[in-house]
Amino acid sequence: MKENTALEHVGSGADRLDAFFTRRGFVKVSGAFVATMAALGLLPETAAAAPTSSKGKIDYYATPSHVLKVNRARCTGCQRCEMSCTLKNDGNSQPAAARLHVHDGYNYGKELGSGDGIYYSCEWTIRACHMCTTAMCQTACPHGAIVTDESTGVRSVDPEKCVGCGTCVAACPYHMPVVNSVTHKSTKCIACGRCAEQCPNGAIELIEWENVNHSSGPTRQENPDPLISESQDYVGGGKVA
Amino acid sequence: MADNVSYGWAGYIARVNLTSGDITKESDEEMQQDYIGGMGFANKIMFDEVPAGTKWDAPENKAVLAVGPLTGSGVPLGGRSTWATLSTFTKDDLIVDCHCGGMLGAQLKYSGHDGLIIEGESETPVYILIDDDKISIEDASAVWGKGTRETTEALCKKHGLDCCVAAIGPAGENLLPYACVINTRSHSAGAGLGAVLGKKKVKAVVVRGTKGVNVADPQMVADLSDYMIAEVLGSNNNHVVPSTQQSWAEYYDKGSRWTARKGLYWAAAEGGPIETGEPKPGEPNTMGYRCMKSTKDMGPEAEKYTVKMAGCHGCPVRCYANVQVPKVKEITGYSSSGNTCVPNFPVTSYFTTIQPIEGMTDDEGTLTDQSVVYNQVVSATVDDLGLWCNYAQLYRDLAHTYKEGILERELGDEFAAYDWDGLLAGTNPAAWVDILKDIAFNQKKISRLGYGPLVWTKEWNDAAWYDNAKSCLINYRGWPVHHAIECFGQVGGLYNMMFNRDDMIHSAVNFQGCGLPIDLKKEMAKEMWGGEDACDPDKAYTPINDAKIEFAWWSIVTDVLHDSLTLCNWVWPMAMAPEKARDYRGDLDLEAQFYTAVTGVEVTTDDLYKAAERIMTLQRGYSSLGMTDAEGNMGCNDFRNVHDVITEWVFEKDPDLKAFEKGTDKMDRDDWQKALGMLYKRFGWDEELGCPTKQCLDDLGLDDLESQLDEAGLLVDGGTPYDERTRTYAGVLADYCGNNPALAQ
Repeated sequence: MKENTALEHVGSGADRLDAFFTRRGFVKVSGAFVATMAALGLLPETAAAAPTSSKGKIDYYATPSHVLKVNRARCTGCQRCEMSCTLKNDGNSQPAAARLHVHDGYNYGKELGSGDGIYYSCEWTIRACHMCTTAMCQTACPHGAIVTDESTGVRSVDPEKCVGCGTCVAACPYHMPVVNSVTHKSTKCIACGRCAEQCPNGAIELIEWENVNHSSGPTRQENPDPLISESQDYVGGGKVA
Repeated sequence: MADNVSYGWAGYIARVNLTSGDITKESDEEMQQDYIGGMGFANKIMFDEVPAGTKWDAPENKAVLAVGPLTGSGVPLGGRSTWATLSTFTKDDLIVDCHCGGMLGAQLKYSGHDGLIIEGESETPVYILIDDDKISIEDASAVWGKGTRETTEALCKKHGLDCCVAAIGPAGENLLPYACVINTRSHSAGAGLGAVLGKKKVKAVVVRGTKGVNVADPQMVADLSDYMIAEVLGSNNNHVVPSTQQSWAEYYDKGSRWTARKGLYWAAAEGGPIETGEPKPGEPNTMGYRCMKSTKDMGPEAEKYTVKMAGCHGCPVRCYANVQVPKVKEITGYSSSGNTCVPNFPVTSYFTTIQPIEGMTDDEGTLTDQSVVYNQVVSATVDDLGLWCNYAQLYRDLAHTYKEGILERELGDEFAAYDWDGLLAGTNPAAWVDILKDIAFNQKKISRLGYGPLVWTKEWNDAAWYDNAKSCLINYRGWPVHHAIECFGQVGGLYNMMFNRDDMIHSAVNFQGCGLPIDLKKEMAKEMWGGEDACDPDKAYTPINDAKIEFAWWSIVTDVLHDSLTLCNWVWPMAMAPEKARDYRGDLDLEAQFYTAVTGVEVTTDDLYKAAERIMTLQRGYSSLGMTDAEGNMGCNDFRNVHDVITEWVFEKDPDLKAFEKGTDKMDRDDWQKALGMLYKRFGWDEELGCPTKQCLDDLGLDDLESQLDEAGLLVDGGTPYDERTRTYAGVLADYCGNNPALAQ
């Protein structure tokens, strides 16, 4: 049999700026600069639109050094990634505040009716930060609380500035950041790789950032099973008399 | 951090009174040191609050769910939970523990609770919703009557897909004594708990937790985890050698649950097959492929249906088969199923050993495709019905009563309602659904099998079944073997007597099946239990000795410890390891080191073993208060003659062989009685009666139990003082644990 390779996905597809800026490039710019660049046709409209918040201090051209590569067919749902993430970065074990998400899809996939989860396809998606070159979480933050590490290009949340408003969660196309229900601060992936170290199935790898601008693996079944709750009350199609 | 931070424990237990509707929360701080959590908390609460003699279906009975300091903390295999309630199916309605994995325990912890006490009784169907700090009693009328799958789906739809739903099915609603509580599709808390919740009209407990477990030394938890996973942890049951010859491995053993090999695939994985390959020690990212459980349990035909393995929260050993069998979907309506225990192989391991079914094996004895369908139809069905099997007793009893004509005689007209011919011809797997449904719904006569052998053997006049080796019943109070005399003779026999249900102890059987050669095991036995003669080769058993008693004692206290911490005793304790560089020695101090790293409280392995001994002795004493004697009077401390009575077949099997001859695990009556007395002594109990003594209750600080026993006239003097009967375990394997980060400090 041929080894499984079909489901790896990397990056976000939002990486069109890389032709302009070199990999791992890092440019600290102002909103005015971006507007000028866009006006000159040197930047796509998405970039020009980006720095309307965050007080004009946008580090959005930094290409992060690393990204997580995931393969959901290998994921067995143990949550060791989520716990390892928070043990390292928060000092406690709190899967709901982890910087990647497995458990929320474990039962039923991304949504009820997706045909995923242990009750149906036995697949669910490992949701990991796409490490976008234009990071909407960052550009949307009204407090400039998502900052870029100058050496790695990786963004992280500055807890001093974060007020837990959740704008980043809403702005991220994948809703990856989480506002921690205890600290009321947002969290996002910093590409530390601890989750990958602890994955018992090698479903997560920390790789050097690549502009792999292709589609993700599946995030639902093409032909999902009908929902049990809409088709039967108990085993064998039994209905209560 | 602030002084008021609770490390490990959430610090609170929720209490839901269904009669009054009151919902309260109380601190568990005072119990933490002495009772740890999980089984310890649940047993302590039951002892304090449910008077001896209470019947399981009385409103005064409670169902107590609890987790421990290591649950959800990041410690490997810390995903389990323990319920305690009164037994629905064994003699005298005494306390039983109902263990379960899945996601329930961790979610409860993350909601900010170490436990949930369910008390009283509701008049209408309800479910209990725990959403972090918010706890409420909700109307369950819309899901009453439904299977656990639909119930889970409906409640997840309502409260969030990340909730864990622990639900009863029709078996629990209809008060079948064999009812269980199912979470996360197929994780069962058995021992009749489903009937207790059904009587209280609790359809489900829904838990959503977004908080964290505070950890005193997160770096140490991470370092210890890395060390454990790299060189100490094996596969399921901590089997530490592969099942086939592999170039990296010095040993292999075909019985091992380290079943990964080249050419064996998760063949139905999305996007194409994933090879299990040859995962080796020191490879943390292949750990989860070591245990290929679908083909191990269901034979080679299961490979093509295998999507992946999964399992409980927090465990890197993925022992849970996840299969998609189209024929099972046609019959049950459910596309996925799978398990790691009895429901993965109920037909071919327990039914056909008594009553053959055509077509389950081929000419070479290999399990067939149809056998996969048979096993998984039962698996999906019992999970949805919330039907427990008393560790496979249901399947043995069903096969036996069919084969011996008991069912035909007792069921009357109802007998013909089931397609026995098709079932046994191997052509009608759907017949299982009809049979199991009728057992679960508790209306037809066949449901008496779901009351357990204590009831049906009496009603159907078949007491002789207990004394038939094929029954596998090990105790006349109504439970079967759970790794008994076939597991190191007296050692397994002894720990099968301890509780009020099958023991669920794996500390010894893990060692037995780990795959290392017996000479090496004997060396290890000497280090851990004080003598090479603690263990014998299979079916070459020798008379009882001190080291065997120590091994039996250790098996019991480690199991109780794990059910309290909570860690998975199906893999823990780390008595052996796959790494040759450490001479295959495990690391018995990891529980204590993790406990200290998580809670910040310094403890030794011996401190924890002592706490486990306290919990075991509490259950023992509490049981004696409710146990009836031969005359039926409540309050009995003669465990030797009333409780710890092993079934006769263990002395009478293999009539051509004598006990201790090669080729049999037959037991000797005098040796057995001697062994009981020696084990009682090791626990500080009365050497004749097997009940707790004043001395041991004083040593363990069980003052409340002591006064209740005294009042009931059940307290006895004597008993060996703690210091004279115990030995030191801390550091016994330290010479092999050079890479242990806690020792480097």
